[in-house]
Amino acid sequence: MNCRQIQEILQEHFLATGMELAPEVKMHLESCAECRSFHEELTALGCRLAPMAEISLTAEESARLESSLQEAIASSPHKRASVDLKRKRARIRLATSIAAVVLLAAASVTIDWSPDQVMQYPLDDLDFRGATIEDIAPLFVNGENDLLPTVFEGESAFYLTQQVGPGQVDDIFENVTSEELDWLMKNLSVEI
Amino acid sequence: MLDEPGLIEQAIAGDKDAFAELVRQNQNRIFGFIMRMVADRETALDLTQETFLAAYQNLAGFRQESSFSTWLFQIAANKTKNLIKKAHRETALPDDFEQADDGNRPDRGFEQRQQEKLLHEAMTSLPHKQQVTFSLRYYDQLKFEEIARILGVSVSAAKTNFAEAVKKLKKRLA
Repeated sequence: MNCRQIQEILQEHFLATGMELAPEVKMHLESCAECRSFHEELTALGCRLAPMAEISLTAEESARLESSLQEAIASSPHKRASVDLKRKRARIRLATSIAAVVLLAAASVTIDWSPDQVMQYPLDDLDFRGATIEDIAPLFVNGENDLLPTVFEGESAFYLTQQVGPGQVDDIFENVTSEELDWLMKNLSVEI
Repeated sequence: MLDEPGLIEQAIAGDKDAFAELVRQNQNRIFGFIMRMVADRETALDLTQETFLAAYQNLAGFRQESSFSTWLFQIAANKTKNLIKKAHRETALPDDFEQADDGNRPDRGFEQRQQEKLLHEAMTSLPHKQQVTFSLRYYDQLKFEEIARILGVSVSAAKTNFAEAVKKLKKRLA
């Protein structure tokens, strides 16, 4: 193995739990000052990073988390049942426009996105470009919690990421111009 | 005691105790991951709660194609990213960092606290993807394949992110 390969191996095995070096790597380090120096730098960095290795909740924090979570779960509102028709329609319209943006963006990110990057969420096998609003709406409207009001804040980024690939959501919204959005909203008609 | 898939099934069926057990099993890893990115215990605690709440609300959609913790890391990474973006990073490290930072170890000396502050600054100065990649790989020992799925990037991109993060941390912490 050459120095580049050795350094790649060293870097890939650089973990908080320590590096376990193969005999071949150890032998190389003994005879190569450059790789030895690289290894020493990593070891020194490991020492600097150590304080962050053992972050955990205190007993008090853990109890607070448990109790606030229980409270939040218990008070999870069933918003969909109480939302009046008008509000619901407005939300579906918003979902439609967002879906349209995604529709457009999905086409533009096809080069970077492959189906095997899709995680577990509805419509994994769906071709986004052929999707209807009924197909897409569940991405934005959770059964228990309507996430639409915060869609641009990122709450529903979680859903989007399942479909277009995590990390690409921001790129999508940043890459769609207001003219494109206007055009989509004008041209997309939806039966509610 | 049920294993993880069993707990998930029970939780989906509405068993809140099963979900509480899943929380207990994962809370320190998720809290640690978020804490490394936001450097504030209260914020990290809030985001940890939000992460588990989102998981609970979407549990029925979790198909167990990845581990539960990988799924949680993905939710936590998104929530943290949104928060940091909102705060434009300048509030990620609070003024009272030294007090806010570490309730676990009140015995730390001034020099150690300063070093930890520098470390947090170095970590939070990394671009989000590099930060997530580094934290998940170095501290949580996730495979690059898992990190790639979480971030929606290729495995080679995940490795490159890690290498870049290491390079920057070496420079900042030298």
